[in-house]
Amino acid sequence: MKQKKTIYLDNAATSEPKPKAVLKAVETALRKITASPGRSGYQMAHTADRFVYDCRKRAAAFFGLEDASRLIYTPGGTYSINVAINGFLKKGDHIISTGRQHNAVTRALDSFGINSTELAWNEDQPLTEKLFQKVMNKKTKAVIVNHASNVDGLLYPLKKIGRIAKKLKLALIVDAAQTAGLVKIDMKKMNIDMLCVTAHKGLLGPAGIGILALSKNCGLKPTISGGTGSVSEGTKMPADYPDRLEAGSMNLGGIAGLDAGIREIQKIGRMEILKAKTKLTEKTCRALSKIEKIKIYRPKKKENRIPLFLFNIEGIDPSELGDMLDRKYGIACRVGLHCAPSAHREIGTYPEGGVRFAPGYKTTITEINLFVKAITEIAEKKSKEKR
Amino acid sequence: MKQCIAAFKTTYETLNAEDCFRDAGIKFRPILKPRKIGSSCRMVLRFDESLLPLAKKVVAKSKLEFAGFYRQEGEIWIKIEND
Ligand SMILES: Cc1ncc(COP(=O)(O)O)c(C=O)c1O
Repeated sequence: MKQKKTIYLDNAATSEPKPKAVLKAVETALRKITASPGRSGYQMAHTADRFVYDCRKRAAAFFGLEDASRLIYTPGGTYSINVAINGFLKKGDHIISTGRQHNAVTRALDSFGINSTELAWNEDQPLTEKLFQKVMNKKTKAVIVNHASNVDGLLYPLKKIGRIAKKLKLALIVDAAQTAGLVKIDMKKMNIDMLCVTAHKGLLGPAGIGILALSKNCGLKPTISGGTGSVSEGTKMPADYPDRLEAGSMNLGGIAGLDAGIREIQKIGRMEILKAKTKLTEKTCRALSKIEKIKIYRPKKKENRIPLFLFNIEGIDPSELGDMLDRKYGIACRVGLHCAPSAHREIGTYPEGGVRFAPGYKTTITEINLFVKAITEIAEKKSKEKR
Repeated sequence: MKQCIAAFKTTYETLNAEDCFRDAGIKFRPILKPRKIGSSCRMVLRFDESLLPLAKKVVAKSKLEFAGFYRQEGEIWIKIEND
């Protein structure tokens, strides 16, 4: 039953395939916008300046950020998270985090000496101000939330968190790696102070480019210093945004790809993508839950999840299962801890981890049927072996 | 006709100003910042002095991160404080 084309179900790691419009935009940028923006006065450089400016404006509008000068291009989600944490907090500060957080957050907090306490919340209980107050102390400056888990798809009620954070005078940092392009994000309405976005997942763009978007009142000290093309005579980074946080030559191909990804999503419709992926995920879950010895991990309530989930088959090591899917069936799923050990601890799958199902905007029903068939076969074979 | 310059703090803001000037019908040309002008951005917008009152209005209304207006006097650019 070997497939010619891989059935790619690892879209939470990175989206595949990239839309043609994204490929074309990257190529066009590299061919035609060849000067370095922000550095020179000749017309080619001005074209590059204008290009970055237009992309910045469109991205800001997409995320409900009024002042596009506060939209910073970074080399990805991890980088955005690091710049936000290091730029806003200082060693010894305290932050409220979520159990579902990615290592991009866990390790950044550790390396910058920020103390953190995880919010003790699960979807069976209301998310209240009290829960935050329980874990707050005098040094608490911010809340950092993984908008949706890359392990089991748990979607945090961000609007509510934003309201509570504002009331408690805490800044809100959001890791939107799994939701940007899939779930509506409005920085203003959600009271988000620092939004960390990566281009290569839900935004359908290339890896190596991301966004850090800052609210009006949020000031950050620079993490990376270097040339900006402005105030070149000084040894300090410029005071004004975006230059303050954008040192070094810009990734024009990446910016073009990110911009094209956003426009492609607007063309297809974010809701359409969400609906299609949800439909596939629900169908898969229904089919898999009929299999004996399978355990599916995902939030109970529809409103608390994005379309991906984690699963295991009793008696089979997740790595072995992933390997079988790949070698025998040509199916690509990510197994293990998904760079989020604390999420697995919360879910109850640490340290073995699990297998993640993450469809993409191009995943078909046929592919889903083949996936279900493969899992059914593997599970049946395993139970026969045991008898 | 004497020339004037509007200087802004960043490339972003200069491009923002280009849009605002264009919308207001101000004819301008982006040029490299003359060395003596105290702005952090390397580009500035040059226009005829006759457009200065309108440019001032646009800058005030658009809340641009503004570094200053300059007027050409012979070889040098003099900052326009408040005339
Ligand atoms: C929840 C979460 N946060 C952060 C990241 C890091 O993003 P990037 O790969 O763009 O650095 C990822 C993806 O790997 C993720 O899933």
